[in-house]
Amino acid sequence: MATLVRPGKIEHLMELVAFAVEAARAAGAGDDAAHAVRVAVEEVCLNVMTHGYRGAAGPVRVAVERRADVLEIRIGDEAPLFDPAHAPRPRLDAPLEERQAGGLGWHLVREVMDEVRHEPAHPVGNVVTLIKRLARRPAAT
Amino acid sequence: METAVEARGRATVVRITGSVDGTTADQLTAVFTHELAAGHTHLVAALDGVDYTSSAGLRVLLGAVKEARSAGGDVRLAAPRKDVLKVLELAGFTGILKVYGDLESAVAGFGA
Repeated sequence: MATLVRPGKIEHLMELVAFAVEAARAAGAGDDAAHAVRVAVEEVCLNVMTHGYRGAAGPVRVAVERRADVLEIRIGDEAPLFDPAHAPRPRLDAPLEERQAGGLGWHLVREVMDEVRHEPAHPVGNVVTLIKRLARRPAAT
Repeated sequence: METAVEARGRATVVRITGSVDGTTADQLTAVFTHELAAGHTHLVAALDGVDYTSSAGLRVLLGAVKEARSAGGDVRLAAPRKDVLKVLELAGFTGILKVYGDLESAVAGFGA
């Protein structure tokens, strides 16, 4: 499993994202899956940095693993408990003046990933697991 | 990310190049804020050089288009690449923003 841990400061955001994309590609992700990983990992990590740690610099851990035809990305933190299921859901059909920016990030994560799971970490923190199904690898000959 | 601003007829074109993400979005907000404060409310964001956007870029566009329309103008998008268009579509932005296939059409949309 490829893992990278960095302080939860915005100057480390793109390093964490680039790491996840590179690991996903090494695990067989094509262009569309790699784009999905880039979007989802940025959104989750940025959320941890800005809303979870609020400027403090606890660790952000990104781990990427392929199991059969599934790419699994786990993003761990030591921030206060936050279940993304409780993030506001943007009203996509609302007129412009009623559109709000809140919740757009988690909405994109749910859209580009096949599954998003959250669990509390112990003793503190969160683990968000992102699941992306990949095209089947050709059978070994 | 880099930006360049140029006047084109009634429109002001903001050419954006690179990645609009959590580390660059504030820089883009500053560009739109500056143009709107100068009275340039007919804005075209030329996106053909943008290889990526996240919700950070969407927040910039949402703020800019709200402000431009309240001042009688608009922010229109020109020539987004596939990945950027996908994010715009997933967020429902193609229903609230005018998106053109090329820069000339977007500029022409504001009239001569």
